[in-house]
Amino acid sequence: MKRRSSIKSLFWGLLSGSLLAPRVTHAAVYLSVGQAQQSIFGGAGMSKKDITLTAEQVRAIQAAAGTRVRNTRLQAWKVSNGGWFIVDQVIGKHENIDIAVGLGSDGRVRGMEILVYRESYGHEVRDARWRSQFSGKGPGTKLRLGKDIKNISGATLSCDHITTAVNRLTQTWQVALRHL
Amino acid sequence: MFAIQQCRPGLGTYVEIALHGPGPEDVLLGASALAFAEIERIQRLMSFHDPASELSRINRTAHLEACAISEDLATVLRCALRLSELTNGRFDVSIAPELVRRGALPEVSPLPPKDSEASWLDIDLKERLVRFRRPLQIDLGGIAKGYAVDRALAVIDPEIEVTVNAGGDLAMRPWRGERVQLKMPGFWRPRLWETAMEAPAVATSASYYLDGRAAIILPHARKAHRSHRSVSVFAPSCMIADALTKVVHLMPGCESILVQYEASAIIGNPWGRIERLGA
Repeated sequence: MKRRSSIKSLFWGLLSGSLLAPRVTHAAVYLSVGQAQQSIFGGAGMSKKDITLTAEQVRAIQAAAGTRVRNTRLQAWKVSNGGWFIVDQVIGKHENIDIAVGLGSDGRVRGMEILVYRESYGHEVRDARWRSQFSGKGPGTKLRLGKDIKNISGATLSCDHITTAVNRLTQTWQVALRHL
Repeated sequence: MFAIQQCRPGLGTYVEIALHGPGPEDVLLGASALAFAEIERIQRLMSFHDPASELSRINRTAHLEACAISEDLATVLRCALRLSELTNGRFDVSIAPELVRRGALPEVSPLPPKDSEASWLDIDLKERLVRFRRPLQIDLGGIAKGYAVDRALAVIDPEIEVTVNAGGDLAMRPWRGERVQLKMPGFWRPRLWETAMEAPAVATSASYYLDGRAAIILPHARKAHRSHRSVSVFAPSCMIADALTKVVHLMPGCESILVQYEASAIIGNPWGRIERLGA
């Protein structure tokens, strides 16, 4: 009986150690949507618009930007000065990033912010202390510098995906938002 | 007390600025905006990619006539040349053409043909005047990112606690008693290793992240530096920390140089072995 339970615990230990844990990702939460709006457009008023891209618009954006459109429903705000504020997701090979992009009334990029950055790491995420620092840290939660989110010194990560996404959003403006 | 943590693409990577201070929140957002603007200013001066940068201008013309340069560029060049001297040319910012050839840097035209004999010894810097004795091209990729981080810290009100992290080039104020996670090589994915901050700044570099496009070159042999090691350097400034990571990679027995700069290094390999140098 004793042996069976130890075999059982060994099985679950191996399963959780080798399969489950490495899938956990590191998520860094930066500005909330409200803070990003403030950061890019100052105090300018804005109103949320419910916009769903048509199949024809999706084709036009994909052709112009040379990249796939994953979300047809836009999270977009029209700014009182004629600009647009858009929240979007960038899905890379090892990372998944929420971004906010501000476009001027001429469609040019006024600013961009990374809101959430999720990245896969190896087995160090088995450390419960490491995992727990991210739980419940939703947008708007006050983070204590160096206390809540650990500082990581590692080699440079490329931001090519971001460039592609920003380009896709400027094409979205050209095709769908420009005359709204 | 208020805190914000902001991240934008910059310096060819992600720049993260975290602030903690008496607030209110828009004061912190304003301080962060100043720091990001300073980083962009340094990037505009020192980008190898941008034909309009001050660096590109001297790369095109400093072999023809002495060029007046900004205090920022002079500071970084002075530091780079001092390190070249101390390392007997193992740290050499005139390595750009080799990086272009390997695809780690784009070809920025029109650049003058490079003299194959040219090296850091042909860079003549007097105060804020620079002249190349032979046609050569400088790339500050191994040092300017750290300088940009130092500058970002410098423009933020001393009342505010700050951490700036540009893809692993990280500086904080205050730093005593703080912890940092260093990315170490692993067989499957990088691991994180936690340790105490030993100085105001730390930088990490490794050649294995670059998908074979080696960005660390052995200057004497003009060969790519291949290593599975990751090097983190703690130093009084991020510019020094950034540059010294390359020195530790390229120069065995560099401990006396680390000591001279009041720096220390932590070297990790994929087998989990940690080695410490200096301080």
